[in-house]
Amino acid sequence: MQLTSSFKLVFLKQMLRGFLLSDASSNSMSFHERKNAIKLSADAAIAFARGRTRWSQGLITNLSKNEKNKEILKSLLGREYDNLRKPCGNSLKIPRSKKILRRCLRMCSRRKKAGRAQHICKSILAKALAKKRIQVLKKLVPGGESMDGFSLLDETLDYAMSLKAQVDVMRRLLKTSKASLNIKQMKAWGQGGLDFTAGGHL
Amino acid sequence: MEKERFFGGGWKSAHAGLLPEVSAFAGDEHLPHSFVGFGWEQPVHGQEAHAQQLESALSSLVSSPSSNAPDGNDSVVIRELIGRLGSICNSGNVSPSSRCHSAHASYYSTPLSSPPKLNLAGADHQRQRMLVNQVAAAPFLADQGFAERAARFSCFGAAEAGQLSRVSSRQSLAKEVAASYAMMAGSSSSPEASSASEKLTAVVAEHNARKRKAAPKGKGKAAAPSSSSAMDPPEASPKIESFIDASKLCELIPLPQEENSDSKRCKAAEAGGADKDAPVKPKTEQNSSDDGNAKPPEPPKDYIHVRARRGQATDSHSLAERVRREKISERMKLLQDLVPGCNKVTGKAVMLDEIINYVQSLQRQVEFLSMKLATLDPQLEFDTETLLSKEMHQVHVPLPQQVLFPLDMATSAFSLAQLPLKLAENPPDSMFSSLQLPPIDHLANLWEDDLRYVVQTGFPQSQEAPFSSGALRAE
Repeated sequence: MQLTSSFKLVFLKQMLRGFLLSDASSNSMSFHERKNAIKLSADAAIAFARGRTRWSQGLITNLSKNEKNKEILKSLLGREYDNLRKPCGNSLKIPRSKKILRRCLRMCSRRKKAGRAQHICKSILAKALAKKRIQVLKKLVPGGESMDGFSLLDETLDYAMSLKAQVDVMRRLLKTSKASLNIKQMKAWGQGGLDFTAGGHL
Repeated sequence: MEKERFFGGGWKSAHAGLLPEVSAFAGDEHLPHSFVGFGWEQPVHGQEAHAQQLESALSSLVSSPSSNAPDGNDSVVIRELIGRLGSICNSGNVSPSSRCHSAHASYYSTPLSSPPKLNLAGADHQRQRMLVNQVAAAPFLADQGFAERAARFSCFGAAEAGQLSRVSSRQSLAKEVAASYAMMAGSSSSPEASSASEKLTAVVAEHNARKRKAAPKGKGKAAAPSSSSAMDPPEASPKIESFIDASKLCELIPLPQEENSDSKRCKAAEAGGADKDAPVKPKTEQNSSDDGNAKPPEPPKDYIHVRARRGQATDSHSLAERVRREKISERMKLLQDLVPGCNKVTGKAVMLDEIINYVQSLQRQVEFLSMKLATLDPQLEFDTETLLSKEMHQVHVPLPQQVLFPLDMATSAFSLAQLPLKLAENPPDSMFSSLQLPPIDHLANLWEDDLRYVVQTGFPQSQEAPFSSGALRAE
């Protein structure tokens, strides 16, 4: 639904822009720096292409923490930078109040289930396991700390799909770049061969 | 006065026999007024009055058997009801058909003021069976007028499905109507009527189940099996008993999705769901999640109707918890579809594990790919830049990089971006051949030119040289 080719195009375009803006291809950078620059443009591009979602905002915020990247991001994203950077206002308050509410509910419901000890143990255990995993997921998804259960799952879904698109496009770009490199090489050899033979065929 | 209207309305002559019985039905004066007045009111008077009278007629019809002694009156009442419903269609067909439909939409939407929830199951069975037999024996059922009206029922029944779906559920009323339609269908010998009644009951059952999205397609499903099963009229009589039973009513509807929740809802309606909520376990969660996932996702509304199922607590806390759980399980299902190889996995924790693994693997892939892109020869990256700049030149745009992009980003990037995607769509081994014979000419030129001048200029260290050479090439 979301992985349309237009989405991928937008992403690719932005990524290439980012490559240029961040000077990703010049020899002046070390390998590591280049890789980071590429990753930065890729992430910024995918966040831009997706539009305004929680995870994209979180992503841009995380990326902007590095001062160097801020300039690049600003020029890359333009207007969208401010939109994407600013997360929703109540994002922190809602989970906090919900946590309190849930704690109260849990205490109430536990009092009701006082007689069924075994069930409580199982349920508590299961909930603890799920809780742990949700915490891990929160760390994975950018901007996930300030989300509650449902929206976290929603954002995870969205984020996973966008990641898939990102991987897809980058892989294709890699493939075609490699292919063109090979062709270039072949042509170079071919040219060299022709020059060598000093044939005037061209 | 009503008698005059009766004749003036052009009612079928076969039903003239109804009139003396109506006048004989003096025991309950409330009934004749509502019946007769309803039946011959002109559509001009407004569908709401129409609808409300029908509704009050129905409610009084159902409540009256308890008050009236003779069963003969009941048969009259039933006939009146049939006549009433027929007149709806008549008037509906006389005026534009949409009015008929809107009448029924409004009929369903008018809130039931007086009658309490009435179950036609159980105690009413016998009476209804007798009614049905009597009605079957009545001569006027054999005439074509009834068949015609029955045919019209099917038309408005079919058309109503879409509109009914918009209305909030009114289980009891809908059941009454369905049962009364079912009675009529059972008594008639026309296959259309039974199919219409089955469609209607299907529609009503869907209506009960509040499956708004599933209603149109469920109707389609119901129509097919109901039409197939309605082909044999002799089987109508055994169907009557089953139709009349309200709980079985739900089960008969051949909608695989909704059977569970339908039967559950019927039971809930009857039993009233009194038990306390069982303690929440992930396994029971899966059960409820399976039931919850039988429903399509609720359309966004101001508030969500939640009905307590049988055997579950009805206080607001557990209801809210259940809504929350169902939402979560819905999303888990979606994620299950997304994450490959997750179909066999059940259980929240394991699913979350899979999702975490998947997201982590995707992130790692991005890192790896960016690393690979970085390891490519810088000239290659540069390749794309020159491609971009070449496009820029072709459209006569000034040289500086930062200025280039806002202007012709769309055209250039599109053609550029199309190229890798197009090429990448072919399998890798045919990559070279595809580069030789690209599908689009100008893209081919793009690659060719670029490769040529990059090769000619060698591997420049700075960015100015290829631009200048590119500028030279363009001119």
